[in-house]
Amino acid sequence: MNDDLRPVEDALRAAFARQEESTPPAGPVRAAIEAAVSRRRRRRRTAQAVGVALALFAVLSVPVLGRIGTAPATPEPAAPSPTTPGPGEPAEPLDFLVLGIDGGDGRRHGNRADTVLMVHVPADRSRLYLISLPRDLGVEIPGYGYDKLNAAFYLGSHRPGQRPDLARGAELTERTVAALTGVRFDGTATLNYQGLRQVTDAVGGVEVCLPDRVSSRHTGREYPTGCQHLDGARALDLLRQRVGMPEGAHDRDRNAQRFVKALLQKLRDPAIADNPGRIAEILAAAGTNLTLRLDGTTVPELAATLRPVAAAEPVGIGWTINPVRGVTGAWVETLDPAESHSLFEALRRDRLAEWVARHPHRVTG
Amino acid sequence: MTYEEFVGSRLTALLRYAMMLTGDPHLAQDLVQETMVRVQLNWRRVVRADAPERYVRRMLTNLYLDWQRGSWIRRVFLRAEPDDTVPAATDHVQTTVDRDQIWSWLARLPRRQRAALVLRYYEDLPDAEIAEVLGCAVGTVRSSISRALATLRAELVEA
Repeated sequence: MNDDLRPVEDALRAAFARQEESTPPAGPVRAAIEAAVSRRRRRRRTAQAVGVALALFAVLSVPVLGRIGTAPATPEPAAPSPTTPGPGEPAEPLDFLVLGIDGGDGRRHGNRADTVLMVHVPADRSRLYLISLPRDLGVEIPGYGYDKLNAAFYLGSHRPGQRPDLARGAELTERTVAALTGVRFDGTATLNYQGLRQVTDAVGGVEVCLPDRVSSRHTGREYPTGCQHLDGARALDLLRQRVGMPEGAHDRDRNAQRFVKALLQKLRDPAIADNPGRIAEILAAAGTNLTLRLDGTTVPELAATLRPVAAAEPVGIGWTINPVRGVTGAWVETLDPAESHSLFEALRRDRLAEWVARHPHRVTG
Repeated sequence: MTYEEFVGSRLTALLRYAMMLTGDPHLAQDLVQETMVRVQLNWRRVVRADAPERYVRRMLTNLYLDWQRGSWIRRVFLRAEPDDTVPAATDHVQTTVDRDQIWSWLARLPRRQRAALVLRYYEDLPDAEIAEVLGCAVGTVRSSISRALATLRAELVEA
């Protein structure tokens, strides 16, 4: 080393040594890291919930696309529909509600909607907006009073001594969300665990890759580290595992995401995607575990509308966890009053792009 | 090693290292916090590395080098602007000015050069390890350091 650089090196060492005393103490930094990690985990969880719901939506559009091939005879409605405007006529925005419900056939206990997702298609058809609502959100359920949002599905569908009426559960949930947000929905799609299992079997199972071994508390089955082929029953069993895993619900969310990726991979397979017969089989497999209610539009029209829109990256909007004691004394989730008010207004006026630009922290990707 | 053990034994050293890189306690805290959040969320991958400590130091360094659009890096430059109004009346004051001067010169160096200086003259790492942390060749480390020293020497002569 050049001798005339020695003073520079000495000055540097001295400057660094002096600076040591200004180093912030570790204790507060450690606390700040913990706080940031739990914020980040919550955000991840919201993003994963949106991912799962989006996949549900994709699963639902498979039957939608399938019906184009198998039921081309659907007559075009004479009245103008919101999805297919006439020449020169601007399209209208569309809003859908997607519900993922727990339970199998629902015979033993009622179903609740664990995924509540609003899907907004703007008039310019630029992209999909996915707005998730916390399942534990405290809301006014029309005709039933104050409760958690996921209870609306149970209250609507429950029939003593009979199988639950899933369509009525979806309808009450839709009315609840409509009352909360002021949005009028053009359709509602509902899928339960059993539907998920049947769709998995209908595509011939999925290839799921796990970073760590999972043991089922329900069946005793072992899911080893690495990639494995799962049929519908195994996929469902894996996705029910939460207790006993290192990060509980987080791990379950991650496994759900792995499953969903695998399922979407299967659905993009040309052997399935380009084969209307196979798609019709998948649709038939879901049967009554999938319900779809459309208002003022037809399935082929909806499919034609959604196909180009769905090609753009959707914008997910989520919330952070904010529990309070609800009016009944139970813990419920709440939404930031100002932000949710402006969001719902933007949704009604089809101005979500502006809202998202002003609230980038709500975008979950 | 658990995450808790790692934080307990390494957090202070990481904060000091970030302090030397940024020259500012708040920015050092931001940098360490962002690094450690990522470390905790990806702990399984970190702990599988041959040397978790070196792996994390490399994460922190990359964050420092790549965090271009973050406002904090601009704040470093603004804060480190040499202050022309500082009087230079006595030797004592002159010493203080020199101290501040060194930090403002450091702040104007390319970040990669500055990181190399910190790794050699504060962390006392051999050039091979510096190269590993910076993800470049040993020759590049040596040329970065000699360029940085030459710049600093020119400033020192001028001052």
